[in-house]
Amino acid sequence: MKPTSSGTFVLKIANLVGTGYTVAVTAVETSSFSPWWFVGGTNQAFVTLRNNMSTQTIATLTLYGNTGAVCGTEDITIDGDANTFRRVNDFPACVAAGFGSAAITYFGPPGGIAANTTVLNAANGTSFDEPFTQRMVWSVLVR
Amino acid sequence: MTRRLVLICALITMLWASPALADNTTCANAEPLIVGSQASDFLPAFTGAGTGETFFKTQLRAGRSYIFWVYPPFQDAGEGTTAVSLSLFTNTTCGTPVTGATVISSTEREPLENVRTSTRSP
Repeated sequence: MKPTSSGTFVLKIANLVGTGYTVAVTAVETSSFSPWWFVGGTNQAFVTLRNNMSTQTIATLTLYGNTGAVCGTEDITIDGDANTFRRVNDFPACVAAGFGSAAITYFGPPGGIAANTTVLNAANGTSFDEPFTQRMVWSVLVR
Repeated sequence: MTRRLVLICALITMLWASPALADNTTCANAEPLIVGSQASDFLPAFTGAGTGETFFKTQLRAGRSYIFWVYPPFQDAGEGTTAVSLSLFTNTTCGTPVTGATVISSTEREPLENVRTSTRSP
C-alpha cells in the first residue's frame, strides 16, 4: 500500500471461521531509492524499471531536486515481467534543478520492482549508473 | 540463612503484582508492530460481530510503499479450514478502512501465492 498521509495506522486481522488459531503478521517497507541523477549540459538521465512479479503493478516514480523538493512524479503501470523507462529530462522542473535523486514505490512484495538510473552523455561518450536499492532489508521469515 | 533469603526472593517474585495487560482484541488495545518485523498472535474464533479479531498498530509515512501479510503458520490441513481478512485503518478508532488507489488487496501476488487459500494482504 502507498499511504497518502503519515502517522499511526491500525491493522485488523479478522478470523472468518469459528475456530481459533495462531497467525503470523509481517510488515515491510518496499520503497527503493536511487541517490543521483544529473541532467546538466548535454547529459541525459534515464530511469529503467522492471516488474519482477507475474502480475501487473503500479509503480510511482518520484524525482527529487537536489534540495529534496519533488520536481516530478508519475504513476507507471507495468505488466508482469514487463519493463519500461522514463527520461528525467522530460520533467522541466528537474531539468531546472540540474541534479537530484529518485524514489520508487509500488504495490507488491519486497523485490517486486528492479530499477536503475543511467546518466549518459552522448557527446562526451560518458555514462554512469545509480541503481535503486530498497530502503528496508528483507530476509527469510522465521515462523 | 541463604536458603531463607532465596525463598523470600522467590516469594516476592511470585507475589509481585504484574501489570494488567489487555489483549489486543480491540482497536484501542492494538499492539505495536514495527515495520520490518513479524508478530505472532492467537486469533480467537469468530462467534459474532466484533469477535475473532486482533489488532496491531504501526507508523507509516506518506510517499512510501509497504506490504502487510498474514498467514497461519501452524495450521495443518487436518486441523480445519482457516480464513482471515486484513484491513488497514488510518487512525486508532478503526472507523473506515483504507481503500481505493492507495491499497491493492491480493491473495495471489508472488511469492505469497502459495498461501493464498488462507491469506489476504493489502
